Amino acid sequence: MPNGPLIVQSDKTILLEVDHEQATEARHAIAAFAELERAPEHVHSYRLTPLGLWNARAAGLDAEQVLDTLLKYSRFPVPHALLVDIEETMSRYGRLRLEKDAQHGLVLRTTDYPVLEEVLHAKKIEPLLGPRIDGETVVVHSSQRGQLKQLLLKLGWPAEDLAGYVDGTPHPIMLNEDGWTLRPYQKLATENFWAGGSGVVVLPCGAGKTLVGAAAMATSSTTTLILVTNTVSARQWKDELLKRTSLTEEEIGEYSGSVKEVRPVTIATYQVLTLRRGGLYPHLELLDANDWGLIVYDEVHLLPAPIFRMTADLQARRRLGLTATLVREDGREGEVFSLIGPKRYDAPWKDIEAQGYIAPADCVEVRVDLPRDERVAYAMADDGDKYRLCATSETKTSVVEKLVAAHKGEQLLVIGQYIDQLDELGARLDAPIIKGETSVKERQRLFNAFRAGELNTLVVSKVANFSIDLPEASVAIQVSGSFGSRQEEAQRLGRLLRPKSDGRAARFYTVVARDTLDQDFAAKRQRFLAEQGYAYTILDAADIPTP
Amino acid sequence: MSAIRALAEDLASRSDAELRKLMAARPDVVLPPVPDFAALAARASTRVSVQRALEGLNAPQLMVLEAVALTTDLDGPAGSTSTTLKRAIASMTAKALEPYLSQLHGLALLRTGPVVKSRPSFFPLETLHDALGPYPAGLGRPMAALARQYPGYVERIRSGLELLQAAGVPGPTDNSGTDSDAEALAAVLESSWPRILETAPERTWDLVRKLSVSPVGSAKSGPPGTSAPLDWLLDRGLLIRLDANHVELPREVGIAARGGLIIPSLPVSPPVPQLTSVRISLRDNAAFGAIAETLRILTELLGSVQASPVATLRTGGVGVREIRRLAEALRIDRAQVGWLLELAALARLIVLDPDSSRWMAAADGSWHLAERDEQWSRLVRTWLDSERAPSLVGGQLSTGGAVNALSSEATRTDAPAVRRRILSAATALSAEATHDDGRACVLDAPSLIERLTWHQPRLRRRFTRLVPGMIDEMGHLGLLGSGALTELGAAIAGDRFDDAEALLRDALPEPLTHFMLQADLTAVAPGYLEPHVARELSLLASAEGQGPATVYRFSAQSVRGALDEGQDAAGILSFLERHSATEVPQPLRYLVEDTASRYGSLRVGPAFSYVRSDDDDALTALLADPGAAALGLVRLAPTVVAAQATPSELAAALRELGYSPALEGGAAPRQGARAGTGSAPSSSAVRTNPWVLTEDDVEAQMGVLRGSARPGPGAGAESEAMIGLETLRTAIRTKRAVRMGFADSAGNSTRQVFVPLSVHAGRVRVFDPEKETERVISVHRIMDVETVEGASTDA
Repeated sequence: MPNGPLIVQSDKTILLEVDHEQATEARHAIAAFAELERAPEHVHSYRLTPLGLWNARAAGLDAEQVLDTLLKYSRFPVPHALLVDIEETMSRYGRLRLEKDAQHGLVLRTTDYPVLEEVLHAKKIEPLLGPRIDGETVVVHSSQRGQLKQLLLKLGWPAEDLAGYVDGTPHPIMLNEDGWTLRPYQKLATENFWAGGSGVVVLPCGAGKTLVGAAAMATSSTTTLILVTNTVSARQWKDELLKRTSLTEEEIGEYSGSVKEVRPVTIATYQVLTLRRGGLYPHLELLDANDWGLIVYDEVHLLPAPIFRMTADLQARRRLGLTATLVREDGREGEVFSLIGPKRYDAPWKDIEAQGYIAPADCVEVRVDLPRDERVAYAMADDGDKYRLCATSETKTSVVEKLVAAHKGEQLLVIGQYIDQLDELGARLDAPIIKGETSVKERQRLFNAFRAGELNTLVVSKVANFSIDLPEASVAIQVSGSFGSRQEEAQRLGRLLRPKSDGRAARFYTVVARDTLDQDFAAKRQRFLAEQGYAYTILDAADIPTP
Repeated sequence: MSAIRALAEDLASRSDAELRKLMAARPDVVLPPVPDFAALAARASTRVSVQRALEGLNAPQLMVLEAVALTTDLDGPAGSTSTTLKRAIASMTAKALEPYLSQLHGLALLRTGPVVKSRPSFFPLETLHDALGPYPAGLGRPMAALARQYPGYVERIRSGLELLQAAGVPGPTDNSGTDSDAEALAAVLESSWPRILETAPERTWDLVRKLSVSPVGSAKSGPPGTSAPLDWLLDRGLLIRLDANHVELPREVGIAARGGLIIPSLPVSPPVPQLTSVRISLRDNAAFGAIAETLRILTELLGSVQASPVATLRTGGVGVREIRRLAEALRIDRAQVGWLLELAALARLIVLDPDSSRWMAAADGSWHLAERDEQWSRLVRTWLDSERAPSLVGGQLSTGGAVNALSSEATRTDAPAVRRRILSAATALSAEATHDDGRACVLDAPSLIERLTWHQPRLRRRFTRLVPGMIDEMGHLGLLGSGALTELGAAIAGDRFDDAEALLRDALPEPLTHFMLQADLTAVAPGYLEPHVARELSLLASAEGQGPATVYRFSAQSVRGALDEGQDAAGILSFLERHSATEVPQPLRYLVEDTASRYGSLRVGPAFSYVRSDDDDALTALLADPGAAALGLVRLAPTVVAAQATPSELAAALRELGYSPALEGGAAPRQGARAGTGSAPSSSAVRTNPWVLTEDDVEAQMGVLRGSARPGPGAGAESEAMIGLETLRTAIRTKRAVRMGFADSAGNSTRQVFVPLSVHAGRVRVFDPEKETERVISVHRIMDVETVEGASTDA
């Protein structure tokens, strides 16, 4: 038995020993078919899922290669049942193919007659199909291409879509590589995507997904629709495109709650598209407003359900999905696979980190003891009040003061959920506060001052941090509230905290009241962040170093 | 002469070597030992023993035996010879048949008759007819027998003969000397079968051919004309309707359909199936993976059982609820739990506690101390010899419910033999198959069953039921990998346990003593951990996932568990530092220290009652009082003392010491703990086969037999009873009357003349010629039987 870096578990996870000499090699080999689930410091764990295996098939890998990889790098015998399962699962992809037939248009073709019989007898699939041409071929109504793919995936017979795409209206777009170049992995991601037609590119936060989008647009050189999560993100995209491509202000339109412009390159938010009035989606026509040659979906893992439905009708257009993770908290990975497309590129997070393109923050949890009276109040409180009581403990204020003092001169954000607490902190730290009621203009002014370094400390509410583009900082202190869903939390952290110029990692503090709900939440956060590879330390409030 | 006496003489005339061979092949004939050859012959003729011997025959042996049984006239002057037999068996020469006859004779299933034309003739044992069942060689019953049982059939035969003659089939020749219509029809069949078929409607041949292999078929009776071939055959007496749904093809028709043969083809060599192949690397991967997995989960199971023993049901075995509990605890599916429990019970890793009727982990810790190859070998040995068939667990019972794990329903006494058979068949098949280098042949269940059935056709049904499950079990134990016989399996098949252990020792990686600690509060053991390290670690953290590596997750709760076991923070951290391949991450260190520092801020201890007093000095005095020593007083606080006596006992004791205590509210008398009900164990203990004939047994038996070279008069009740039964059977066959002495229901012995009709299931049906009625007599009431000479009847 070779002494490889992988341990293949019978529960379908693969453990990768990071410090093993073959670790990098093995990581590359398994990235094609397994999803990274946890990446703590020594042992990473990957999961084998049907979708992952089908992604691998879509990328041209066959079961034999997957089995060989596992056997080659595995330290111990690989559970036999798992091998059999992999073979069985992978053989299901591509037995059905969607193709363009010169005579009949869109057709579903099979190499395996019984499979076609099976799907033809599925009740939901029948109405999507036209007449049967022969034993192996059946006509598909072209409007049902997306829905058919979705249903076939649910039946466990994912179809390979070889029917091609419409060209879209040509529109010249060029990358403006002036003083910067596309990183090698960004180039590779773009090439893989283009070769595959449609699909998803997975890159970690901060690895420059926008540039992959821009490069894809340049390759396509057609009118493009970009779908993003919110207005903030829309602005970022616009700025980035102006900076990195030949596109000008006049060529890029924003289609959001406040502005409705349709231009050769249009950036629309999910929110406006899914806006519903009287049972109708008034903004849906945007999708047909132009003969888009490319549709880019930002943050695919957050794509809301109505967008999926709309995407089902857009199967003839090239689609690029961008995301940091294929894992969706709602479990709709299958729809991403069938409607946007298979995974076309996945850069192992560690590699990009090793290349120096991203750096994770150091996370520090500071535990404070509640004073006696607060402890009694907490013990007696109703369940509904408990969290507020512990999260807003007055002892936290002094801890924050100490931390701010320790990081004097650095760009620092204090984040919280409860306004009273933030008001008090603002007063004690003598820092401006940004909350829901702060006007956009005021926000903009404060942010600009913060970015320029005229202002070192900002206190922001959770509400504020959701709605506006937080500037980058090197230290963040969270006093209360979660930072969004677990997924979002990691993403925001990645975006918010940039390493300092001297190469030191950014810091993320959370101040937590001991023995309370606050600590329970913190435990979940700790697990998640540690699993994402962030360094994590726990300190007692008393142990904070004084400057 | 009685057939049994004849057999006894035959046996007595055999050489010692032949007798030893017989005892080795049929140990049950001398277990327990027999006094003389008559008893030996009687034992060898019992139905049970004959059936057991039949189970040992291979396909050609059984077929030859069936042919002998069908062609020999038991009351004739001479038995069958190879020459007479070759007429009944396709493409076999007399010479080729002789070895089979001598093998069957060697097994005492045939006895010698007079020599005919310089060839030895053989008689089958009488009980063979019973043991072979009503349809030997897949042929139906003879027409004459059917005619006796189904009165309407005689008419059919008669009209059939007429119909056939009307259709131009030549009738029986006059000199054939037939004295019944059945015999006449049989003669016609023999001489003119092809001609008969010519006159039959289309597709008649298909039907006949089907029934000639398996004589009873289902055919719903419908209005005439529904099936032309069926009606045609029925009308001519060539087929008989047994009931509304079944028909039978009489023996004579079956033989005619087989071209006048009893055995249309004799499979002299075992079938060679077409087998696929698998890469040897894959085979070994599967086998070693399975072994590591089985050992790991089994050890985990033992931990679970130790923590909470497995309750049994009153009806026997372990119920679904317990299985589900274990499945959840071990994160495996329920079917696997059944198998593992069985395996653990076999290896005596869990034992049934008779007092509580629960399965407990065995007290001796040898399992945990053993190396993995020793553990494996222990499992394989006990599995091989076990009469349990774990694969039957979860199957349907005839009474409705399912077979529970560790219940007596999953016992099959021949399981060890079947396992050995599988191993040897697997070895043979693997040796025969030829494959490219680096590949091994995959043994699928149907091929194995086919091969085993050739060796022991009488066990086909048992093989079909047991083999697939046993193949799975062999997979779990690494004897098969990916369906192919592994080197381990081959070594075990050849009884080379030491080789197998050595092979395994080389293949399994060394146990690890280190793990990796991570900031997400997990410890990953990248392989098999030394048992003591694993035990310690599992005290500190709870295991997750399933596979060769174990992931342990630390939490405040798990660390508290370790503190409960008496560990402290320093001890825990030093253990972690000692065994961690990486540094102990700060969050984990913090978790341990933080949990330990706040552990025990509330403290719990046992006490049955307390003494409270505002007067500290009074309590101090009480504690100092030697008379209060037996009360187990402990001072918890200046004003509170806890006691180990019930409140009323304490109060009484204090009063005796001269205090005047007051009982406070809630000081209710202590409830007596209910004693266990102590029901009898409801699950079967696991035992292995005691029926083993040793070398000494054989020697002793030989001595006894040779010491009484000829059976003396009145030799043993055993042979007498058998001879009595044989007399009855002969009388039935020859339709003679017997004089029978028997005890009636009042216990009086009577002697009477009867015409016996049948012997079945311990009862004899007889015709009483005096009262002209039939009656049934239990065999055990019969004292003696003798044939009434010359009194042939036609009852």
